[in-house]
Amino acid sequence: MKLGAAILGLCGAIAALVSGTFFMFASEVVGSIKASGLVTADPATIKILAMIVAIPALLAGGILFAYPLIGGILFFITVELMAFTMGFTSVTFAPIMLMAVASNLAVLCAQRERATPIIFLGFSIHQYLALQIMVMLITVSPFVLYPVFLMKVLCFALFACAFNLLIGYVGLLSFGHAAYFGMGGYAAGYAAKAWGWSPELAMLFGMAAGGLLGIVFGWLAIRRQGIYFAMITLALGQMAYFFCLQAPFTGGEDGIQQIPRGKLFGLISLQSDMAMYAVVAVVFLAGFLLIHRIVHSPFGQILKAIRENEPRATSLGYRTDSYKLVAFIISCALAGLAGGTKSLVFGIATLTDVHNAMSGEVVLMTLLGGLGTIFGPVMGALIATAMENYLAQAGAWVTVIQGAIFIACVIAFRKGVLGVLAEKLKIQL
Amino acid sequence: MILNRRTLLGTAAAGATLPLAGHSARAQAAGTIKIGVLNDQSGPYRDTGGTSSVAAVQMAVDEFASKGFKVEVISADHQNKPDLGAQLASQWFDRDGVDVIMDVPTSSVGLAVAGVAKARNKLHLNIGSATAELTNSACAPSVIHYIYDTYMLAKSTGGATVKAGGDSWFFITADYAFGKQLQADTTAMVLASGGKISGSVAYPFPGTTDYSSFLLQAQSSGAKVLGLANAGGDTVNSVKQAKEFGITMRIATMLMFITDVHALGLDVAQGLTLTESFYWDMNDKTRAFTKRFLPRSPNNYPNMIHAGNYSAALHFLKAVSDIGVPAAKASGSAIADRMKAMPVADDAFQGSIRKDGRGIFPAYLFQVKKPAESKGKWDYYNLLQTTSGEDAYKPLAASTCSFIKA
Amino acid sequence: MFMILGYPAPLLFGQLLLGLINGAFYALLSLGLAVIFGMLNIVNFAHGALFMLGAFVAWGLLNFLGINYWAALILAPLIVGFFGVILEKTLISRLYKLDHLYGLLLTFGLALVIEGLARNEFGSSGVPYPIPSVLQGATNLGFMFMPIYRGWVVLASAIMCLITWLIIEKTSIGATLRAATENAPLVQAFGINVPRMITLTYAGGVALAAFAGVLAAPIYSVNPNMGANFIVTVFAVVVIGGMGSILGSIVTGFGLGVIEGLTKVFYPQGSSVVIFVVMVIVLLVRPAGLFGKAA
Repeated sequence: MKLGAAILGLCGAIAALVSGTFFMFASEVVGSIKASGLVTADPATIKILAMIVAIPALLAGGILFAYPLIGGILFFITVELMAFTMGFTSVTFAPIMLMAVASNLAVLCAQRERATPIIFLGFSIHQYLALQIMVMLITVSPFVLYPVFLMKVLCFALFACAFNLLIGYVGLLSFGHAAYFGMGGYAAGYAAKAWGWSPELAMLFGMAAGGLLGIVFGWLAIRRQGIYFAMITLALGQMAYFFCLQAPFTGGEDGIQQIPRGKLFGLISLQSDMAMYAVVAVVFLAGFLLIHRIVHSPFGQILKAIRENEPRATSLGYRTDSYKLVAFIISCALAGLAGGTKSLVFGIATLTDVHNAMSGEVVLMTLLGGLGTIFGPVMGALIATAMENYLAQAGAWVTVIQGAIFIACVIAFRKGVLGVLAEKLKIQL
Repeated sequence: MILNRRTLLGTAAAGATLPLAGHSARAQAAGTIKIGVLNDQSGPYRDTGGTSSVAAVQMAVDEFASKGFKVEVISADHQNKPDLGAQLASQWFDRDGVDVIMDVPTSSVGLAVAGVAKARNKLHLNIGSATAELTNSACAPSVIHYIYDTYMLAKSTGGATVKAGGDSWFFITADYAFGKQLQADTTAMVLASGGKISGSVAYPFPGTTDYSSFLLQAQSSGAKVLGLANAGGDTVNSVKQAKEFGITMRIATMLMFITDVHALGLDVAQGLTLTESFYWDMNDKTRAFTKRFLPRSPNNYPNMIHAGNYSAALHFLKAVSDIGVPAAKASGSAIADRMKAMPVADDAFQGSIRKDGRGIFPAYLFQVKKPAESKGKWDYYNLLQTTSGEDAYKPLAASTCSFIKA
Repeated sequence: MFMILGYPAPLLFGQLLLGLINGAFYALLSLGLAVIFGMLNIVNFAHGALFMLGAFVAWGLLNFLGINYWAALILAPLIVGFFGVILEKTLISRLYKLDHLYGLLLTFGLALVIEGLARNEFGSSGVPYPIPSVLQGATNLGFMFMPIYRGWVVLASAIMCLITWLIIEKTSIGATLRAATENAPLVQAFGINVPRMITLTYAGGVALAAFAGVLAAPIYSVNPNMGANFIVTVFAVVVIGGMGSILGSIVTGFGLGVIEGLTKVFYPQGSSVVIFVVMVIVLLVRPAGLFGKAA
């Protein structure tokens, strides 16, 4: 527990790495305002504007930089004090950070030209800003919201991002993605419980299980495109479900229960929710950045070319099937990682996660958030999980409401929440 | 300088909702006992538990004369998802100040919630799940499994049916852990009572809708009793098709409730044997209970799960008023110990709770009436055999529960 | 009692026949899917839900209006077909210009809504529906004990499949339909109201599902999940048969029913996955399906 809280520092460090560039970024923004020629040359105005932007940004960046430092010092005094202080600073400075983000956003929107330079890991300015907001929320929210709920959101968010890699960037609708998610969960759960593996190894094992299953199913499914692909993956997913129902290691309909969270690297106990949360946050961010990196690599460009026009990609000399298969396997492996992480969070791995309904849910999340947007699946996972959570206390209308949202999304809202937002703001998210 | 108003507003709104989203009902005043009913309100177990169970708990609360503390009942739909069940349970315990979680059908969810309760020393009264593991490998000092389990069903349906003349059996079994467990348990009981097993067939679960071939195999085996080791829609389908194929064997269903009989209709369900630990038309007390219950649940007569929820909630409240609210809130095992020390006595159930958390009540073997015998609405059962509570459950000596041995 | 491959012949024949019965449902459902897909290019995920709706409509007709099975066999498909018209006009028709995947997603949502509403209304344990008195009982065929109703199911669905096939392949309406599938603007130019034809096609496909639902009501549990259990298997049948092929869906439907039935004799545990295994093999050998045109 005591050591476990140090993980929080790790998360803070990542947050700082990303958000710490805030103030450098602010000066860059001021520069771009100058360049845009929007403000009619009154130097005083520019200075004021620069101050508005820079001061909160500087504050926020500085605080996030200080996080690991504060955490490290407090850690030697008492874990509780550390948790309290970090929580306190997070909550207090959240408005300031938000202000910083808001003013940056405002300035960006004021830009006349819509050129979106790539500034970091293939993120455009807007995406980078969104990333900062996301990281900030991930860091702050466990002090405000229930951490177990948030961990579930993050696991589903990673799952949805993995799914989105296929549908959003290759144009393949996999309707049986629960198979890889659930299989990852079973594999990680079994490794952690029966073999006593440490959590990071168990999660990696889950990832491997998802990936291996992806190799087999992907090899079969990519023979067909479009709707056929969807139906074949659906059928294969159903087969995986039957397998899990019968296989001796899954515990049938009882599932694998009471999976220990264990000790990270054999050292740090993850028993406390906050420690586990930090690990989940790191896993999610790693997966998220990996997907983003893949999408913006030359490999990702070819995937997009395949999505737009497969015959053309073929005629340009690419073996489209190989590209599709690799993308499929990556997506399945990450889904497996998400499933493995989730099974450690809840200590259970059950048939729910391999069931068709789960495949439907991940489609819903991605669709709701915005197909082919980077942040859409995260937003979708948040909305869908919150909905499931709050509807649970509302009674029996869950499936009906889910279905209605599906219909509404397809009919009127095809771009999803973030897709629509991005369109309104005329940016890419 | 063009500042986009919409953008700013949007951001402000996003910021404002952030802290709000976290606001959920925190722990109430210390004098309030909070009961959480967690069950399936939209899926396959909606009718066997569902909102009728919530109504039953509410009824117990209303009938329990106030002893100086307030009682609040909240409920949620776990949608048969173990992860959602575990998450809601921990949220209820950690943040919402819930003192006991009740019902929780579906074994996988029941076990997950029991794990959550065990880790926090909070009370879990399981009524809806069938798995005997709740008082064996997954047992805990603060977990009580109230009215039935797979062992008791097997013991009553298997053992008592043999006594009633059905001494050779053929099983049609859903090929998964629950079905196999039921078959194994029942087989043991049948053999112990001097019966024999003529054969069995396992069918793939789920997804099998056609049982005709299995039924024909059963018919040709010459056994007197057809044991259906399955549940829910599968049981309904196999019973329907048995009727259609003119199967003349006595059909013993392993897990069936009066609500299922109602769905089947007497025409199809007549002659089935099944085990419940409660029947509304058993005696004056159960009839009185039912009379009070019906206005709260107009479409469902109470089955043993509904009645069990009522009884368990009432018993819990009695124990709370005994040891006091602060003690009850402090420790799940303390309140569980008190519940185990007191006899259960209300209109629905009379019995006790064993130290491993197993509720001890008589198990009744019923046969479904012929349409001509049924005199009114929901008049469905004839009592065949009664197995006393002491005999109906797995003996403590054979239990794999760890904490009672310490 | 003579033996085939170590199994008693009556058992084998019995299973063959029972497989045929299941195949009848597969055929009817995949036929409806094929008709809809051929014309609208939409994979109707709501097909299972509409099948369920057919059964419930039949039950409602009997319980509230006292309309018997035979009338329900005609009325229920009409009612559900009309419901299909409404669905097509209000929702599905908006998707024709979009990627096919959206059709799948929309109908998936529709299935959730319909099934959810049915669960809220009727509960989940299902409702009873009796076998019509004429078809009750069973005959001894010598090699097996055959319930009359089962025989009727095979017969009725075979007739229905034949009628559908005849309409599409042999009549002028069918010819127009096929032409419109190939080139809608051209057919429109000939003065034929293509949008209306599309609507009616959807209604027709849906009515087939409802017809199957009424047939299924007396033997399967009439409950809100009854369609969901079928739909994935039917999808596999459609993939094997070749999407959009009328003949393919009929033949594969019956054929796979038989294969599944035989698996129940030789290896019962495998009978739930055998269709998927067949699907995998077919995909490896003929990716376009047994009767499908290469994409």
